[in-house]
Amino acid sequence: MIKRFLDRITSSFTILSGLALIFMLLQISVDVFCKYVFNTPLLWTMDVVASYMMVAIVFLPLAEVERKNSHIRVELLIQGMSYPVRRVMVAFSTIVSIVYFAALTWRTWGDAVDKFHIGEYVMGEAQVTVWPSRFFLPIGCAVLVLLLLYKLWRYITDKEFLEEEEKLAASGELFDE
Amino acid sequence: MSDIQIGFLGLAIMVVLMLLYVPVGVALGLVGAVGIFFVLGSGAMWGIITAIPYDFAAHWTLSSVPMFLLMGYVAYHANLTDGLFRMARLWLSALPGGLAIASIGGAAGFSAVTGSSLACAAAMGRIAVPEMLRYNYDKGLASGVVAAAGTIGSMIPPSIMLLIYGVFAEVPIGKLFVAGVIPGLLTALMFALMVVARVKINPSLAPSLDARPTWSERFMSLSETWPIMVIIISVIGGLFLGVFTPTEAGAAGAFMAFVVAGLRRKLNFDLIKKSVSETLVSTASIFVIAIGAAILTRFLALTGVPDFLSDFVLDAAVSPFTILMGMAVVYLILGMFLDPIGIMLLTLPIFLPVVEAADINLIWFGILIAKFLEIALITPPVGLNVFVIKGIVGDAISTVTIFKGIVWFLVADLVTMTLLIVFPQLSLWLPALMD
Repeated sequence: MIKRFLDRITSSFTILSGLALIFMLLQISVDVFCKYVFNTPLLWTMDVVASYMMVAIVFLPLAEVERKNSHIRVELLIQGMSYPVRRVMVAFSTIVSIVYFAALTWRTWGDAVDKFHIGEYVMGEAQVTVWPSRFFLPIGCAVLVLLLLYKLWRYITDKEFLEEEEKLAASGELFDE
Repeated sequence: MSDIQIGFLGLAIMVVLMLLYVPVGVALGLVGAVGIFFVLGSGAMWGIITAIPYDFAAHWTLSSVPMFLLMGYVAYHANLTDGLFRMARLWLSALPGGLAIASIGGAAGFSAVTGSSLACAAAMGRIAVPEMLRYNYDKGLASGVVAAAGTIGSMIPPSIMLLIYGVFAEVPIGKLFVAGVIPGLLTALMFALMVVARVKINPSLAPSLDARPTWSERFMSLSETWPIMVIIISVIGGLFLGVFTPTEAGAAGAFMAFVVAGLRRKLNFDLIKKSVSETLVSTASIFVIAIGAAILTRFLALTGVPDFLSDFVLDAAVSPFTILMGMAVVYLILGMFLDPIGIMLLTLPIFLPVVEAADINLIWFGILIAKFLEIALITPPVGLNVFVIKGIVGDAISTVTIFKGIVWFLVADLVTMTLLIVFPQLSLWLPALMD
């Protein structure tokens, strides 16, 4: 139940940031085209790409990265450990990640609310309202925290959960650089 | 406890956290944030973890990271670069070890479309290794050459590694990219010479092919590869001439990759989905580390650790050469258990101030880091590229055989590295032309 709910939010966020990626690609391409063919670049490309698209691309897929276990880690020590020790290490690292991302969620939420009240905008070649993009951070981080909490609960209560994950990882994608 | 002690203690805790399997980005960011708390108090800590993540993501230069990744993944999934190997094969098959040299040529070509060594090794691995095995090439040579040649991916532009380095070191990305061209080609040339030398000495490693391609066949092969050539030339040319910013070059490249995939009738929903999803996961995981590294950089700067280290290096009157050799050793060691971009982001907050204090050219240093990390990609016991190749060949070739095949290319790489250190002009001549 919880798993399905989390999976659904994670995938919708990934789709959203995928759309942001495609939109960014098209927008920059059109901008380049206009700049060199008609000599009239789009006024707001830089600000919209940086403030909206990039923030969405970086923060909305955070939970997806965790779901695919693609956060970059040092495997030197854990490789040689027995299964029970591995379980403790993974649970510990999950707790540390929860602390970090929960702090980020909390602080960036407060910041986003502040920027909303101010009505933050950037004054580049055109005025672009940017405060809504501030909300991508707490939202993306919050989903990641929820997923991490769920995984932590599974690591603790279900002895086989880590084993299933390890098997999944072994059969997964080859590279993710 | 003095600030410097807090700094070093923080670094030690960070290493312990990473060894305990905490994600690298989390270890960097958490230690940085908590460290700032101990130096300046909670206000500064909250201020920094609020500001840095957003400022770092909402970054025009860094928006080229997802663009170049997307271009590489589209080219990879649409098999756009298989033609490069076939073409290189027709042109180079007369040489001793022709297929092995063709895979180096193919990898160098694909390097110009992708910023990732791993993708480059995978792309050549899936097409070139089976071909070489079919012609009874030595297994170690066949797999080793592809794993090694894949590393050219992080040197020839675009290079995700150099891009992120450029942002941290505040070096113009365009120049950095252009600086990688000659070192990348030199790496390829050294690998090729190594293949020729080995096959001359022991011809049984690579039986010569009976078919002699005609000149018309050779020119015909261009018809398959010209679209990818157009992409390569416009991306690198645009960067060199300063027509494109890196982001524009990346977007133009990704756009053209989609168009070429469409012309080849390879463009479908599945391909888009795969490429986009891999781009997002890679981008987000790189940014998690980069943001952590940015927080750690602030923390270290506050503690004075970088100044302490650079004073130490200057007082000891260590030559730049010794500094570089010391750093090379650090990279080779870290390369044994961490992925290259992680290593770079982990070390830059500490190394950059030292390098700046010693007055070492930052473009040159970027190229050297890329070279060190390339070597780390193929050094046992980890060698990520080796595992990519192993994943492709399955049980046909053992990991040990691949590593044995690679040793020769490591020797070639050491020669290249020495040349790059002794002759900085190899890295600095092309970017100087851009002024």
